[in-house]
Amino acid sequence: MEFDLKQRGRASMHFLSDLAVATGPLRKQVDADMLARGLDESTLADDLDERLLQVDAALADSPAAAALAMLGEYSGVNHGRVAAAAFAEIEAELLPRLKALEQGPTTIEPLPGEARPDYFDRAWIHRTTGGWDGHPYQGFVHGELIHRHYVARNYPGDIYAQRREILSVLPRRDYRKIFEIGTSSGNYTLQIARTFPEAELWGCDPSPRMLEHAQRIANENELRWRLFVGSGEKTGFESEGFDLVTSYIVLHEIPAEATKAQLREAFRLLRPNGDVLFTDVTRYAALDKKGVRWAEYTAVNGGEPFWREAASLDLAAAAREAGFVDVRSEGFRGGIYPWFVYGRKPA
Amino acid sequence: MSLDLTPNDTAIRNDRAAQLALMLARELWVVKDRLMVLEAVLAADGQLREKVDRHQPQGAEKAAIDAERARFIAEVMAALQAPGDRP
Repeated sequence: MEFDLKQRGRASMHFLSDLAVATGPLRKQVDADMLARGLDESTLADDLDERLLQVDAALADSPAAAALAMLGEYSGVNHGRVAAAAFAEIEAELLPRLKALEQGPTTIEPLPGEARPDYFDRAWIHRTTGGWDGHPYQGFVHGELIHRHYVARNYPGDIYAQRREILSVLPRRDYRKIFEIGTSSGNYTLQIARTFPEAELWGCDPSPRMLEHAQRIANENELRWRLFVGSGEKTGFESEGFDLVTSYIVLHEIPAEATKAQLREAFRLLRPNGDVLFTDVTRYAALDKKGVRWAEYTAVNGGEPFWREAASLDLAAAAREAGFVDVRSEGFRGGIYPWFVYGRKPA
Repeated sequence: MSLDLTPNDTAIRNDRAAQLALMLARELWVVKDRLMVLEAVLAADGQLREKVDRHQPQGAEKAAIDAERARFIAEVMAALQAPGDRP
């Protein structure tokens, strides 16, 4: 969506995103400080909890580590509040457009199966004030302000291109019906729709506020999606109705058991020869000790209560246990991020 | 997972004075940004500084400034509280 923030909101969002960009050199300095204190792959503890305490104690006199913790706390607590305040400045002029975009070919309806898994309300993911449903227009606030103005600015690479390019790992282009788990505000959904324009596209998410923005994005682009409020573990849909079940960057936001349940549900929903493609963050098994420590640091400070168990899950084994064959679990294009698991339901 | 996993980091994160300084830095940037915008928009008006110096807010404008000051103080107070990051 195209819109302009007012001066306060624009300047505040710019300040927050530039602050995040400025932490890059701090991280490098922290790496150097760790080495200077004798922390490397040979000396870092094998046990992860022990390693976190070991690094924390060793960096107690590191100004860079202190600054990083202070800035991380500020950004973590405040990005949602600042974005909501920026929205409030333009809310009155924006509301007619937002309301109008809720009318169109894309619909939202309850899922026949489980609506809201218990883990969904356990924490405010990303420390976003109020959680995914914490603001009447959280879909806009998160999708347009936090994602586009904040995350996209300081996350490595083009986060929108990554959502489009990952679809190139799929072996087919003739999918007739696609189901996306964790639609959120529709960023991945839009790339699926553009890559497979002939396919019927369904999506689900436990957050109605996020889905409302996905609906606006779809209607703005004159796309016909069927969106459902609910989780992907127990949809209640008829079996063997889809050719592709997919998700992007969802798995680290849910417990590992939920990921296994989603793989089982995907297997049930797919027609024979149907594909599953779930993409997520780098597996801990693909990182060295220092890399895992940084991932944990980001997770602990960034409001990611399920990251560790998600990143530790053997996705290939989970996909095979669900029944999939031709399973691949690897970093995209030989890298380590994003990481995907692919599988095919046998004919 | 716990935010209290690492005691040194946790102590730094709980330093409300540091959080207050960052909040004030953000507000300062908003004002600096606004000043630059004002200067650009009003560059042609050579009387600007004198007008600003002598200007006395009245009525709705005064009410808006009062409300903005209250909002600013609320931000200061919020920065001094424990963060709300749990349901």
